[in-house]
Amino acid sequence: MHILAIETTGPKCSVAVADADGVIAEIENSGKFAHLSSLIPMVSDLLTNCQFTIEDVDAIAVSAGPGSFTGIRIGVTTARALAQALDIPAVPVPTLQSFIYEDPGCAGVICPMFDARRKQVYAAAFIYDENGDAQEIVKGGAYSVEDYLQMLFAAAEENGRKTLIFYGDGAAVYGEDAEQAAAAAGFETEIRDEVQQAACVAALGLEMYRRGEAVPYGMLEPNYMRESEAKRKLDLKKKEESAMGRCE
Amino acid sequence: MKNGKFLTLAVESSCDETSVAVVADGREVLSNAISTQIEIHKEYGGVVPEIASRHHLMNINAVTAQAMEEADVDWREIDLIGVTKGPGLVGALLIGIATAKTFAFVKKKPLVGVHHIQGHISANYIAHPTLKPPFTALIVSGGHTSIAEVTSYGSCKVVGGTRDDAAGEAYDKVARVLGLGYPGGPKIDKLAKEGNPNAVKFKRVYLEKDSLDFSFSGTKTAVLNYINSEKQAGHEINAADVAASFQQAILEVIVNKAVFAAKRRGDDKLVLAGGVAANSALRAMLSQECAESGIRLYFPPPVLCTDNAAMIASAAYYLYKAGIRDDLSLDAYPSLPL
Repeated sequence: MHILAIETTGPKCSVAVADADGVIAEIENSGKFAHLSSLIPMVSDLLTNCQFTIEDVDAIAVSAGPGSFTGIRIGVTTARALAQALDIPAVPVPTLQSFIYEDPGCAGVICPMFDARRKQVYAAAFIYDENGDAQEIVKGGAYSVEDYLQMLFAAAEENGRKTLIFYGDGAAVYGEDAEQAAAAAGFETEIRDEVQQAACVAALGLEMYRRGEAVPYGMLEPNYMRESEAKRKLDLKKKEESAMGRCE
Repeated sequence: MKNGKFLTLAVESSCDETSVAVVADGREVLSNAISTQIEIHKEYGGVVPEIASRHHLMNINAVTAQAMEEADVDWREIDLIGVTKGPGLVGALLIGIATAKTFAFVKKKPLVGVHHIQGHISANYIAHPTLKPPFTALIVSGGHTSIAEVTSYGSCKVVGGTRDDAAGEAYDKVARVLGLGYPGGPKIDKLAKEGNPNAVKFKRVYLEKDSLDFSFSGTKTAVLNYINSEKQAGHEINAADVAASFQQAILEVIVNKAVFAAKRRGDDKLVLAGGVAANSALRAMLSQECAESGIRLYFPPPVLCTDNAAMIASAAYYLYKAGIRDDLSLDAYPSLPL
């Protein structure tokens, strides 16, 4: 049993393979903005390194977002085409949740945070409970940095956790703000220079596959966590217009 | 191969149409599945790149399945995969490119990236089985207004292009001001039929002597100024007359320059290509000018004028026959020169 995992939502493009025992290989390309041109050659190299072929793959796990819209599309489109052409299922892996495999079983709070611009982040928070199972304590979403930190502090407090561990490109941008706010709220922080990677996507993908969460290619959808700017503006305009209509 | 014929599967996603086609021997369309997003973008008054990209992603696999089914082929029979590599909206292009590369990789087929405009020119090979290069081509679409010398199947040289707005952009702007909505081309073409093309004399911009380049922003501005000043003077505007006069000013320049380009090279063939090749007034004016000059005019049927993958398959086939291949690192080229 082999799962091929694709990660293109962040600054680095990476691919990994897992078998029934876990992740066996990963390749990463740190060249920025070359995800489209690198991805298929990297898959090809990875399979060659592992000495098996694309036909030996039983499912595709793809980092489905949030992250860069363009990056999400490169990964999800490729995963859909792979699943279609190979007639195999695909697993839409929540990108934020994949960070639970950065440090399995850790005692702190795992806080992936991606820069969503406009002073916002795509973020969530996870802890490992006493049974060693990961729990989401802040739901993944697009938040202002302040709102996210408030929710994070409250959830960490409630679960009796003292250390907050930040990951992702948002940690590089807002890490200092987070550190100061966390210190004031009585938490310790660690800023890890790690972005989303295919090995974690493969690990979570394998787990989801076993839980029966794989889908046919047509049902594999990206998770942008945000509408396009144009749609957001249009919806706002419509809402204002209908509000005005009601007043009259 | 199927029945001794070479099969090309091609993908097109450069703007707001998702299309996959299967074409035999570069000329015979076995299928040409097209999913259009026109209705989605109407609300916004133009194509919104982010929304277009999202829809391409959700549509492309079903369109592929439809194209394979309608052509009644399986993957073993496909010999080549073609895809539009540019120009176009980068987020839209990459959906087609990522999909085509994946198919090429999994099914172990050669891959050829195609220039979108070369695809539009190739639509004529499908429509006219005996058409062969060399010829002069006039390409008019939403984003392009160019004159090219097509020297062989695989190569062409641009001898004239727009220095500012493409004709389609000028159409969209004028249509918006006249309250006609989007897309402007077909709306203006339709309304112009009810108007007098000589009602208002808008300026024709020919640039320097013998130039094959275009400039439409001056004409566009002239129309907008006319509408403003008429409104300020309290006059009612005859939208049909304005549409007809605007269209006349734009098309007269395009037609004269295209026919001049063909004559100058001694070509007896002029090929019309691109989305605006469906414009009825353009076809009529060009037909008349070509007839008077002893030039044979070729243009594709409307379904091959819009963005479609059959034309990309035809172009990919001839590029492949000319020895051109792309590897799996093929990228998207949003502003690719011809």
